[in-house]
Amino acid sequence: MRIFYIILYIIIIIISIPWYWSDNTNIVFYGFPFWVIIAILGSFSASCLTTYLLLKKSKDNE
Amino acid sequence: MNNLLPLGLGAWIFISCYLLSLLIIGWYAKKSRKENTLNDFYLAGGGLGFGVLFLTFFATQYSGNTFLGFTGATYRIGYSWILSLHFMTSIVVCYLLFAPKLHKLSKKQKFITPPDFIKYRFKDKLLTLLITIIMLLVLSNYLLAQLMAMGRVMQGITGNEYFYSFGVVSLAFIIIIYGTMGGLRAVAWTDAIQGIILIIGFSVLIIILFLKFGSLIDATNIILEQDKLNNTRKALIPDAQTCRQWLSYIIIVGFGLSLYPQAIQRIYAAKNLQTLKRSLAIMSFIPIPIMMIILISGIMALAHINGLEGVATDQVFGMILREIQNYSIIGYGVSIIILSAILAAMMSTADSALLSISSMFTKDIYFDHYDKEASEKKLTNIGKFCSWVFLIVLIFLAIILKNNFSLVALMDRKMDLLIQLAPAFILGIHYKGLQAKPIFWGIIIGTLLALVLAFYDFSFTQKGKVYGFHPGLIAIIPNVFIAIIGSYYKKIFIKFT
Repeated sequence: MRIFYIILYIIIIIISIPWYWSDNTNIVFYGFPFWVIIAILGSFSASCLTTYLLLKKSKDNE
Repeated sequence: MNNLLPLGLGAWIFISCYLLSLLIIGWYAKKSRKENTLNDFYLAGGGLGFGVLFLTFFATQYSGNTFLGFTGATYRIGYSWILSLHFMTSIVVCYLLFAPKLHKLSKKQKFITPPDFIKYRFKDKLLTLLITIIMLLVLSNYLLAQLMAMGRVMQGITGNEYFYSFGVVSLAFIIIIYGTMGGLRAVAWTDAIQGIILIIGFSVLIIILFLKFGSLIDATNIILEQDKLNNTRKALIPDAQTCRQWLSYIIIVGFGLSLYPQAIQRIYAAKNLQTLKRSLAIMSFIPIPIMMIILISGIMALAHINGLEGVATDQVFGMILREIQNYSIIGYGVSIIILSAILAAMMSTADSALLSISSMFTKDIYFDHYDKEASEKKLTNIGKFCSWVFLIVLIFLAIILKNNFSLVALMDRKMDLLIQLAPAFILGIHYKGLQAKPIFWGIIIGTLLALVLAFYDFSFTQKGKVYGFHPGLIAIIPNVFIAIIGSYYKKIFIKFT
């Protein structure tokens, strides 16, 4: 299961860093470039996963 | 911070009241002490509850540089500085790897300082001393940078160059007085006040920013136009080099900052495991509002304040404050709260660093190497004395190095050094087969390689980075390799002999 969560974090990083976007994308969404929104959502997902692992998962382990 | 309007009497009264409240808290913390022991002084008796623990984690992790330096960074590189949101989140993810286990162990073995874990785990004096020295060097440089920043803020507020030294001395003395009166209890309680001021100040800042500069859509469109004209990528997709740097920051800051000695001591000081986990869970969401406010401040400045380049971009936060001060009487009030918040951020970082330095010097150097018979009372007094000596030396350095930025630039190397300690702490807590000597040589090789890559101008390095990656991150590869392979072969060698 640990490997599964590490893979989840890696996937979040891969999606959040905008290496795969085409060079001239300039869609603006709620004032932010769209790739910035994806980066923010990535960070939010990592925070949710961390909270889950801290509060739920490790409680089960104890 | 040299762009502010002169502050009125009301503003000075507000700032003075805030500083006075820190001294009162220090006095109250002293009254609340339960015993004259190292545990009570440096870890508040190991009884920090959820609210205080969370706020002290927050105030310690977000320094003055987070607000001044990061706004400047956004101004320089644009939206790509959203990477700071990722690396601040990665710190809590890295805590997940070792904090719960380390906390349980610290309660059982009564750890006071980070090297206490190394002593217990590896039972090797040389390795413990090496780790203590690296941590002391990193923290001393960090504390010096905070003292110099406090002086510059005071210089900016008064508009008078001579107030730099006054700022360094007066604020440093306030820190040492409440720090030596109440130890971590005083530091954590003042951190809590400082954390609250930070949250209030920056929540109001974002509202005023939109009222003053208009919508974010307008700002982004202006930057997109500037990108087309100047052939820059401040709102466009970042280039490959920036993406590599982004990944490098996530890893190096995550591992490096989670190993800050003062952060490790807060893991020890948590009341219980549940309190620690709940505080860390809230901490994992904190980067989103804070980094967003900093990013938006930098973006607004990039769109509406033109002409700053190079080192001058670090002045951008001061310029935003001046715009807010000019905006209205409410704006003036908000700028005072934000100034106090920045002072608070610097002081809370400085006080934690000072307390950590004092604890490691007392416990891991004085007690371990000079006076094994010293009583807890004597050690606590030596810790206080050592805080005074360290601070006076650093005040002196901060004043004579006033215009010397090269020493503070070394601070950029702290992550490169701290990450070299990750195998000892993070692998050490999980992998029972890890041996002291391979860890020792791994740290030596890793540290030397990181410093050589950072300071020597190779054909493949650019601005101290290797293809966008931090030298510390490259150096951690041989470090981990030596630690694991060395431990494996040493185990086999011992088995056969």
